[in-house]
Amino acid sequence: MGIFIQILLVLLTLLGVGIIVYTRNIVHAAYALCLALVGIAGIYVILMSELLAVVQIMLYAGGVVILLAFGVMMTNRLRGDKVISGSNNALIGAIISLSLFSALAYLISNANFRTANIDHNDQIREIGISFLTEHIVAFELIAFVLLVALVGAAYLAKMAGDE
Amino acid sequence: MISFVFYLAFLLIFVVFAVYAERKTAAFIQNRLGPMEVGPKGILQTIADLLKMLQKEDIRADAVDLIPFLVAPFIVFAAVFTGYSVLPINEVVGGSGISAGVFFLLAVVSLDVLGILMAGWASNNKYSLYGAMRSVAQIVSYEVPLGISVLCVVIISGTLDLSQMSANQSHGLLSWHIVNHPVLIIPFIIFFIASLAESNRTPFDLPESESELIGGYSTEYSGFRWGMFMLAEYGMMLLLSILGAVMFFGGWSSPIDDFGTGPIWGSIWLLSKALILIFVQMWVRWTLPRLRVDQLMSLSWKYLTPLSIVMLFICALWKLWIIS
Repeated sequence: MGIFIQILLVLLTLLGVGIIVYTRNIVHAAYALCLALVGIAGIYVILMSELLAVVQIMLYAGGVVILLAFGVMMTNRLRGDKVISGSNNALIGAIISLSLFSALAYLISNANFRTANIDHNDQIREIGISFLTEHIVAFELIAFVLLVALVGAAYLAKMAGDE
Repeated sequence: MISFVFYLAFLLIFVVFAVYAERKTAAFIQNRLGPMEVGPKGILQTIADLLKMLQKEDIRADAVDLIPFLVAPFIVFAAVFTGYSVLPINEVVGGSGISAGVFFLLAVVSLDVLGILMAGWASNNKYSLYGAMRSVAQIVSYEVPLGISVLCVVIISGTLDLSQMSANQSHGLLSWHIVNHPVLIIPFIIFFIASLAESNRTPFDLPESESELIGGYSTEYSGFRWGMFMLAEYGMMLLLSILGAVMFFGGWSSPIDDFGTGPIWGSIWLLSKALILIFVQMWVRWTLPRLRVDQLMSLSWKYLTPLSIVMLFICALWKLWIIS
């Protein structure tokens, strides 16, 4: 049963990604991105990583994609252009994406992943505790970077408002 | 799985009666009678309306973006209804055992914004697009105070699992969160205001305000697909009311310690608490006028969000000093 759902989710993700690549309509591409992200979140659930799945849905599918779609729609209405995507610089793009793909494939296939022993009923508590003990520096650093981004965004918005 | 089937059936029956209750509440608040013709006291009015709605033609304007236009109502409803999967019914039948619990609920429910945006854009109508834009801005803004007020409860109860949260409050009225931990009263008010905004209800119904936007993102829809939007709106009301009942008012536990325990009583308690909250939502709807867009945004960002962050801090202190 699990394997069928997994295959279904992979097909769903591939469908989403395929639409992103082949559609000419940017708004449709944003919707398809959401489909792909939800499919990946489903795969996380199958792999027993619920927290990651929920964070994926909340931040990427519910946050980033919505802002993306919002931005595309606003731009289109303001400038009056047609929102279509084309393909430019095909050769350079192909070289960059092939090298990125091979680098990632090489690294992932040679990586030594450890399996963590986490009680599935209480994984959020364990992840939280490890954030505040073992990985405290990384955690605080990310919080600081987010704060800087927030202040920067507020400053930029203020500058745009003054003009 | 049982809870999912139960809530689907309950939601469909609830919507029929909630529309009637809404119209009657409105009528009594405005000192008139409301629907009186169909059936005794007009009780069959919604069923007649429903039959009429289902027979209507499914109109698709020429210039719509067809696939998103057709899919959008189902995305909105699916996003809202997925939230029900983690809700418990009583002490025997809990929701899905996902450890992220209420966090999962807030995450999937936020996806309904995508459906609304899709509907507004695909309709190719400026009123629909304005409605969708307003709705997205409103829901995204009010998710912040909503999430933080939920976090206050999570801090106090120490769990994200809604069944566990109800079980912690099962020793009569005095063990309910809002009575046992009075510091949660302000988070409850924030939660309630944000839940009105999340379900696009007056005083936050700017996305579908009839007098300005002829119905907002649902302008171009008719028949069954329009009905899906209504179903999703009432589904959102019920979902957030049940969530409020579980988080603040003891879930399926009875107000008197030993009276009315057991699975059947449990579901009756939970649903009646939720229905009381829904009555308050309707009462607010027909009492307060609609906010302006700028007032809506300043309420969320200048008042509710800072207040909820202060309450989060106070709840953490309460947890540190009073509880432990």
